[in-house]
Amino acid sequence: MQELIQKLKNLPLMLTARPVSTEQVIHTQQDLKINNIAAIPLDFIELMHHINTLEFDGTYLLGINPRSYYLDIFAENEMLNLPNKENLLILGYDEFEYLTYNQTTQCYQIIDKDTLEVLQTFSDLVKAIKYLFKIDNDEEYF
Amino acid sequence: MIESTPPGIELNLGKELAYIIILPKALDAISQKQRRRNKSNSSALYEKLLGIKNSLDDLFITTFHRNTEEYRHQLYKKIITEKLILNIACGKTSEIKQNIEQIMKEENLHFVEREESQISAEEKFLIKTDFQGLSHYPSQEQFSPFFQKYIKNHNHDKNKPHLSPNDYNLEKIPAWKYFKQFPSFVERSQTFKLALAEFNIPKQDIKNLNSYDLIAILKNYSVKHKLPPFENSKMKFIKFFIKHHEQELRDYYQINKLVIIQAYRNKGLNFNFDENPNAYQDFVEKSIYQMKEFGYVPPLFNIHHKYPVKDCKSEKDLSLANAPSNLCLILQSPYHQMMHLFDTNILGKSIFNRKVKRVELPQDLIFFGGFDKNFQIYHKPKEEYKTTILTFIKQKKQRN
Repeated sequence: MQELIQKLKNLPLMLTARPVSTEQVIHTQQDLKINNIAAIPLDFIELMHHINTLEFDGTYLLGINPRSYYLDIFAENEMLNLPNKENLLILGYDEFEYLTYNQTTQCYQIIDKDTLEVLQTFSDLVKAIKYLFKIDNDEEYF
Repeated sequence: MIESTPPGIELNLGKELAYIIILPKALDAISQKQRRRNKSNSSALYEKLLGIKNSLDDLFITTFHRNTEEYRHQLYKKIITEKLILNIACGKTSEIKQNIEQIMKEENLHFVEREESQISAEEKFLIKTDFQGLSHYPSQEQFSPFFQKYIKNHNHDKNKPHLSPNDYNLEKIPAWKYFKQFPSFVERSQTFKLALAEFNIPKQDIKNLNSYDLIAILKNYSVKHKLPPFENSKMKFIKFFIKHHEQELRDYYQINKLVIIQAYRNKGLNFNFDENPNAYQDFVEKSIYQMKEFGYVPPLFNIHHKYPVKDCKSEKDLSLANAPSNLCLILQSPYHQMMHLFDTNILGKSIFNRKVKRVELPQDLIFFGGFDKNFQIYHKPKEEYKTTILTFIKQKKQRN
């Protein structure tokens, strides 16, 4: 996780807000619960204590924004209103895909924005975020 | 184009600034059915609404009216905006959306409704790869049954005699009909052949490969041989934009400093002018440098596909989805999100609804920084651009 945080902080001209407080996390989890939306997973909360919302080259990571709906995990999930939002929480997106947490299977999924087809599944948040931000993607596959 | 301001007339910064405050609050209100932070902090909400009220005064007062008709037009906009504010205060979600649509209409941004003609997942995957580059390997489940089986036994095949790249005829691969619509893939025809040869795919089996297999083979080959990165359509577009419109973008940043700072605030950030009075200029210079050098999308902006990717079946050429005429650099919040919000949420009961409702933006609009024409940039094709298009058409004819 520390390595990922450092890599994200080193992205050129990336914008991130002030790290979240425990109180903000509790309030947001309550908002999500009241509105029947999946809860924020623990390792994502850990990340928000270092990097709270992130924007780089048309790719976005959500967090807690006390000022506006923009990149706010609760507000954006409420607005995007996915059909299975009680199990699926959007954590970030780019032009084509959402990064989500599936509460039922307890894994991170990259899903197509239009069809909601699952394109990739990760058990590890670090790998999922590296996928979204196209970091460390220069390895041989075969 | 950003026009020079006539003496004595201020640009509509009051209106743009008001919109950049009001519209995100409208989107905020849509997303707040039950929210603890607003219920428990009514004084903060009151302050927010008071801020909106003051911004509305700016919206009307700082606008210069040339004639009675324009005055009436502005008055109507003020009324709609007042209604919007009332609806934000009351949390009337559907009315808020209606008001936003009315405001956009008044600003000459019209929504058009039509049936969606969906493209296949493979076609969409190639549009995405052309736009973002060879960023990822597809998942194993997306590989063809032939390829899944082949990679399992790949090590055994290493002993078989290798074919020459020129033994491969890409036209024999059914998926190539999609690839050849993209100049970026056609330029790499020889690399595809080299990759197939190195991977030792039997000549007679290439007909079984799908688009995902081909991209995986190409990416693996590119990584292994450390080929220069795939310059994707997104980077090309940004570099194209900054090459032709750098001065207009600089003018925009200069005129719109307050709007950009407000967009920063909406994101929960602040420019710290006390510590660094040059913070804003540094931000502008760094943004422009990153655009020129690496083709990165500048902070607070995003690229909008005017004709939606998921609905480009009617176009005969898939690559047109990522052509500069179909792309527009746009302020992400609120404008880009407003356009997508209507696309998916107003018509669709769910995201699966296959109707499309999108704002139709002019083909030559390349930059959208606000409703006012002064904050938009249009790209009028010059000779150089025309030559590129003619070369592209010529190459396409040769290919066919």
